[in-house]
Amino acid sequence: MRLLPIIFAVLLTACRLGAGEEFRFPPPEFESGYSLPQTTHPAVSSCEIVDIALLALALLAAGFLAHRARSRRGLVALAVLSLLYFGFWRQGCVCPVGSIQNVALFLSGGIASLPIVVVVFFILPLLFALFHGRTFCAAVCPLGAVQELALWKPVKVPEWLEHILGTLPYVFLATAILFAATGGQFLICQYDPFVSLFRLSGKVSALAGWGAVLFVCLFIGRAYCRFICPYGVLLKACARLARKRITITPDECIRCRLCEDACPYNAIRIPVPGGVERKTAPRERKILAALILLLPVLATLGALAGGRLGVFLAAKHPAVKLAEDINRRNLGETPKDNLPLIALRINRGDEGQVLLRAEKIRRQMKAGAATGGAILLFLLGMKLILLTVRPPRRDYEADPAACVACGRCYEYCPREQARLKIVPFDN
Amino acid sequence: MRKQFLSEIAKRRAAQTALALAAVAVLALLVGAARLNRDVMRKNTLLEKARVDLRGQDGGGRDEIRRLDAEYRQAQLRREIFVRKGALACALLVCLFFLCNIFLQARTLPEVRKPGEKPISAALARPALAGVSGFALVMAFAFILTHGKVPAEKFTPPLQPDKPAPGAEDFRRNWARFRGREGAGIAVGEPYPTSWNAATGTGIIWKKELSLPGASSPIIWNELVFLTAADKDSRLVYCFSAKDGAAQWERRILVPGGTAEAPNVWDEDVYAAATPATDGEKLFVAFATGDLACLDFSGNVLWAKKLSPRELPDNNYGHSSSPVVVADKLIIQFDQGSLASDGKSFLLALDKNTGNIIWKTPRAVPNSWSTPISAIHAGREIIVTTADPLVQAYDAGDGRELWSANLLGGEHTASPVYADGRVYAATESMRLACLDAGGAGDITQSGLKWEAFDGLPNIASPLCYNGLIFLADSGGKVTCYDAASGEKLWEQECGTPFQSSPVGAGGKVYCFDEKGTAHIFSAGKTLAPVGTAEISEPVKSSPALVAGRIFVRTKKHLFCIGTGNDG
Repeated sequence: MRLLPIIFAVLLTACRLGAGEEFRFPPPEFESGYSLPQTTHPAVSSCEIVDIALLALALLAAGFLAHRARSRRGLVALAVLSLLYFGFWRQGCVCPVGSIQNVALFLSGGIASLPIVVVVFFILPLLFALFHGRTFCAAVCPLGAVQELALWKPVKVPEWLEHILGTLPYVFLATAILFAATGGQFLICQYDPFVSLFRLSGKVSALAGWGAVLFVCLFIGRAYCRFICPYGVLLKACARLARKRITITPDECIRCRLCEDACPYNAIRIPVPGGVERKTAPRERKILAALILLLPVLATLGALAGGRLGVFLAAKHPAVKLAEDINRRNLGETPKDNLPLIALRINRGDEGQVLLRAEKIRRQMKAGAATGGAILLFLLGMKLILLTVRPPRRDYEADPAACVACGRCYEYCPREQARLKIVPFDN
Repeated sequence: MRKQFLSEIAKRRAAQTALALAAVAVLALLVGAARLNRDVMRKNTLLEKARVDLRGQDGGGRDEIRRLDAEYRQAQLRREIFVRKGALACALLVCLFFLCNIFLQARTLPEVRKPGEKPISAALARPALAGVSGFALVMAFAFILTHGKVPAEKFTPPLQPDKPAPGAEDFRRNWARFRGREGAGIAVGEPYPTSWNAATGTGIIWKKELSLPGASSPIIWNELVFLTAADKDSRLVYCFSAKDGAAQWERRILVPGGTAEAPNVWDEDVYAAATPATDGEKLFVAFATGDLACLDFSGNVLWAKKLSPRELPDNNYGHSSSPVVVADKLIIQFDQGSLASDGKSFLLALDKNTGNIIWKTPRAVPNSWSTPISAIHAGREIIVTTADPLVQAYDAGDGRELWSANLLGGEHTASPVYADGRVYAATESMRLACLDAGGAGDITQSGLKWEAFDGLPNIASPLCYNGLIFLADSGGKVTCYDAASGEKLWEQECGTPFQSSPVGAGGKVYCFDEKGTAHIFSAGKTLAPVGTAEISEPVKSSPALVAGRIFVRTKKHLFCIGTGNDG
């Protein structure tokens, strides 16, 4: 517990550093006689077909290992293989986490077509989550694998803090979609903490970024997955509906409580007795009614705040930044053109068009942020309602949304020990 | 108990050592990279300073900038190599730690809480979440309130003085599409030159070398000349000053999607066979690959699309029909397939501002290479197309077919012309047909005014000028008919085949043959050659004539011909 503040400080610093940037060599500005090679469309690589096939195979294997074989070792081995292939060999691209942005850009009409590999990487883990839960996180995602393998001395995050930090991925997802759909930046890739590790390259800040995130993950299990990953939001939604869920025990829970604190990711739910105590029942009912009535108010507040903040958010969009540079230059605030303005002039760009586009993007960002704000606060209200209505639970269960199917809890269960014939078990 | 390869303590020590080494390596990498980064920044500052100090200096100044630029790049490269090697070392140590950690992740059974004891943190979840969320919301509104209402300043481009939209007079004096106004091939205004010689430079105002080949013709709008060119891999749009030929810009057209293959063509010139078109504000270009783009006059691509999104156009020689602007629409004759029954041919009307399809009318013809024309007939804007075997007229408003005549055949390239309520269409293997433009339905019999069979062109389109029809055929012969009666008036053997369509200007007819010789005749009922003039380079495109100047594109050059070098 005492380590927590230090760990979070490091995590915040790491996020601030930004990770995914790589070196870029600008072309010479003088004539050197060298003719730049012509850009052509990349041909469909056979690698992409291999990627798709391996992703499907890995997902199938993860499902089998988590549900049928119940093998933690198998899952770790698969995670290592995924890390080697999807992480180091394919250098973390294309990944389902980043594919959200391509899909958002395509759906907003920003690009005419979407490569099949991106579509498959976006959809397949979600489809599997509908059947098997988050087995993608367990052993296929290279980002998850790094964190899984890095966890050294798990520090439990208090549940109240877990709930608060658990809202961050929703905010990140909404912001990333907003920026991608308006053709701005791919924030998810830009703030991918491990891409510079996979590519063995990057700016000093990027290297410091992955070092810091890795340090945090030594103590807080899957800090990125739990408190940042935007794809996790979608996976959680699908996993809630999963046909087959991870069970701690292979057959019947005997409520021995040995697994109670087994999960470093706070995904095990303890039994809740049925009914509510007579004394607290009226108060709880009132809170519930108030929360239900508050839902539309929250959504409206979210829309209002989002709409206003959207304009500030838009100021971070490259096209809007460029338009602001033009305005500042026209008003005489900056006597010298900065690099983007020089590039615009060299390419004979139409400043009028840039300004019109920026205004359009600002309107889009405002509308998008208002919608996002309304949805986020509505979901927050729903979360508070769910925390109020605690349905009775008889056994120790893995929360289908929070459980990443890592298989750590299996070995804590005496029924599992008996199934594996490690220890004899007598009812 | 399972037998363990290493003791628990040994595994723990190994993991701790690997972790410590990895931490040291990461720190060393960061320190080293930061140092090299400082070096890069320092060299960049020196370079920037030199750029400012030595600006405009030749010789030594330039060499100094190059030296500093090279040093700057070397520093970048040193940093890159250091980071790559360092990151690799760190990654290996991290992986070693992972490996030890995998073996170390043993079960340590937690302390079990007393029965009935509820985790304290869970009870706090709801108030904590509500409290923090409420606080965040209050902070958000406080931020909004303290930062004013939001940036009210709008990005609005500075107001341009009201520029009237291009009118009929602008289109009359410019050459805005293939064969100029209405695709008629007739120029207006000043007298045009009748003698020049590219070998001696006589009458050549300027000449520009083109980096890529093409068979498309130039178009002219005010003081700008637009031209397309392409090869197997790239597609270009050029913009030159009409006054002195100075290159204004050059834009490479890249349309996303589709296939990277190039059409299988008989001659590399036909990668860019379609002539651009303009509405006076935007430029529209098309290529053999089916790539279509709209640019502004500064060369910015406003929109681009593929006519055939997933594959190349099904066309023996690649798409060649030129785009045509009709009011707010861009008309594309997109004929494909070996047979009419393939059902792949369409006449398309796109929104010229967005490229979105307004209407799409199927055409019962196979692939063709002719360009449609538009004309106002009986108060209605019609579009006339020719292909094998049909001459067809469409309502420009909704794309409805008005009439058709089954009179043509073979591989059809020549475009039709419209004059005085009649449409003239010719194809080498069939006939020159004169049709009444006002019919309805099948007018093969009813609409045919006259037909003729001599001097039929293969590629060059007919010219209707001064009440006469002029044909330039692939045998090298120029033939003249009376437009009213169809009577053949004269013919002249020129000796070299024609691909370029004849144009009429200043009472004369200009026919450029394949070798680049212009045969000039008086546009009269009797044969009256005015003379010949030489470009001395093969000409396949049709000339554009504006303000007393003739713009001709050859395989490698664009020529501007005028009366004297008056610049």
